[in-house]
Amino acid sequence: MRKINSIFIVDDDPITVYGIKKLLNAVVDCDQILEFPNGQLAINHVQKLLLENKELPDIIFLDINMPVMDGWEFLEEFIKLPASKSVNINIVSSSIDQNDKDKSEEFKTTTHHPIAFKSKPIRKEDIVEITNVITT
Amino acid sequence: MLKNNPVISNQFLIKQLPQATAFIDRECKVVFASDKWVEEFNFPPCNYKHKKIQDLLGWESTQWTNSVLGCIKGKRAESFKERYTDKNAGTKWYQWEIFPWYDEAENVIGAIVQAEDITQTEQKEQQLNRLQFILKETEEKGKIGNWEYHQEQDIFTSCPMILTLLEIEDNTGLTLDNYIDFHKIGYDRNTISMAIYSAMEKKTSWNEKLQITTAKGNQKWVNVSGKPLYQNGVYIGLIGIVQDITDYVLKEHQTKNNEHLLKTLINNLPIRIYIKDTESKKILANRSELDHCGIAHEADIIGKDDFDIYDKETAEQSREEDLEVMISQIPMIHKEFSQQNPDGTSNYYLSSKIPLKGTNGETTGLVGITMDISHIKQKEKELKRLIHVTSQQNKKLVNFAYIVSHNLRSHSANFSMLLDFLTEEEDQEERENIIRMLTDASNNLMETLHNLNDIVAINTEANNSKKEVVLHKTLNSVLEKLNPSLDEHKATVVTEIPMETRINVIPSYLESIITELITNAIKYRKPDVPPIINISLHHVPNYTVLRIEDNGLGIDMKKHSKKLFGMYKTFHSNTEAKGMGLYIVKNQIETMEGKVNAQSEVGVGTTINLYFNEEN
Repeated sequence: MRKINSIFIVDDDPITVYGIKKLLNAVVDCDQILEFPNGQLAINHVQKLLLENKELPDIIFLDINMPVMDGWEFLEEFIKLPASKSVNINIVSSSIDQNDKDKSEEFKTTTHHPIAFKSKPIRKEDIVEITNVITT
Repeated sequence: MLKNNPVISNQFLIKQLPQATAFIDRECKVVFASDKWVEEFNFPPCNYKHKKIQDLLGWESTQWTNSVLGCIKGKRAESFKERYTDKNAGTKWYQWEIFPWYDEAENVIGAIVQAEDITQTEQKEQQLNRLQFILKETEEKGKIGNWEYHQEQDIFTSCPMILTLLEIEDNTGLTLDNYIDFHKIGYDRNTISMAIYSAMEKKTSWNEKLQITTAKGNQKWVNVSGKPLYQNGVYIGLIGIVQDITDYVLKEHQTKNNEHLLKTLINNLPIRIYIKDTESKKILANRSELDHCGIAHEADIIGKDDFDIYDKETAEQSREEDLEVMISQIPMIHKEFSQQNPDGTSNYYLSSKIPLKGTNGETTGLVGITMDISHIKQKEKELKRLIHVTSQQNKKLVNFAYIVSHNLRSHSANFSMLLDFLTEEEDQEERENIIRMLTDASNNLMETLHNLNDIVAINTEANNSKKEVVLHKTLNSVLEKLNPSLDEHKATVVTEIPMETRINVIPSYLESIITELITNAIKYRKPDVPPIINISLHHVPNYTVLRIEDNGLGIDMKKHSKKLFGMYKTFHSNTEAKGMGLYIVKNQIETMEGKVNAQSEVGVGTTINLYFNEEN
């Protein structure tokens, strides 16, 4: 089974978090899967990691609609951080709004982190595809 | 007696001849002249004898000389008229009679010349000719005919022009009665009959404009006039003049019709029309213009300028426009301007000024056309407002549709995912776990649908359900209901609302809004500080503002101001937060045509301002 060091799931919906975790566990071997119910808590943790000079996660699953700090605000903060590592960011949303897709494309051009837009529900194939990039 | 030496016997008889007579010998020398001749031709009284007659007269003409010479040869000349020019007497006309002069032996010894001064007759004749000519010309050019009626003999005579006028071939048999019958039956024939009767009986004259029907059936307008005819002071009949004035009358009718049409048209147009002279004084104004100026009769506006009608500023501006148009001769088209009414409202107008030019191209004034476009402006304003409302509603709808689709999709995605897991899961405990989550998802969906339903209900609430409420009373009733919660958190509510303040609202919305905002103030209190909520009233143009101020956690407005009132937006890590409260508040106040805004500072507190529309 492929091995991944660290994965963040930033989402306030416990069912989605449960689903992603369940699928990940079926596909890869991951040391650490961290959950954050909003963007603020996630960015706080990232900042802490950078401060302590620890490694950033390989993959972030990011919801858009969240309280306190939403997915877009998180992205804005995240790409500003001095991170040399490329973190695979997967925006997972139930949105099928073209505006949201365009917005994610815009973010892509402003950062070295690979950004992908995935519509809910997340399928096993999506998880395979996402994790493949890291392990190969 | 010598043949060529004529002698006059009975000289005293000749001397007294009543007619100017001269006897001349064969050499044209005067032998003797009557006193009349001497006087007429101004001969020297004593010594004219034996001088040549031509020399004495100082005049001769070919015909005259030939006649004299003819007579001397024994051939009598015809009497003739000839003009005679004399240095002293000027031009005269004479009837000349020249005879051969015979002696007893029938020998021609000279000629007898007789002259009759016919100057006066000649002049009269010429005058008559001229008058006849003028009459003929006038009759023809002016289509004027005349007739005479001699009552005693019952004779009716008419000039050829009468025939032309009546379109008959000849006037034989034309009687006064026939003539009268040419007049149109009714008014015209009655009028002429009465006039002629009156002229015969009372010796009056007449002058009427009447219609006739000619022999060929054509209708003509004629001017008939006439009077009794007298001879030596005795009444003998009538004389009448008939003038064909058809062309003139028809033109006059046409002009009158045109004028009437034009007047009717401009007076009934809903736009103001006026004509000004070069000094900007009005010389014409239609009904609309008069009404606008508050003047009843057109005569009262003629000669007035804008300074007599409007305030100085308006008048000066108008005069400036007039001058520019009249000097440049370039029309001013559709210039928009507004005028304030005494009641403070404004009217909007489109004004055009077109220069009027005389035959030589010089400016003689201008035509002004002013259209009141206030109602159009009003509609435009209304339309703009409607477009704004519509675009706002559209935005809201798009947002709502987005939210609906997003939320429903997120639930269906969860169902779909969980069901996938369930079909593949074999572990019984995990299956139960998944089923529990499916139940949660189902409950969440129900709640979402419930929320959406609330929103739809707000947006479809009819406007006419608005009522006037006493703000103070509503507030108190809400506070009473919230009392247990306020007590529990040791909250203080300070209200500064005048007792009499009334606002127009949907009562249930007002209650819901106040409840939501006070609940929020408690929900997002600082953990260790008892909440203090200040409720006060303010006024800004068109709105009554209800302000609800707390000392709670506050929100970072830099980050969140744009989505504060958005759906499913929450700003605190509070599990109670659903992101619906403020969204509903915003929808409710907007449904009541009001608005809401907020100020907040983290750690200080939040102020929400509710704007209630006073217009409705």
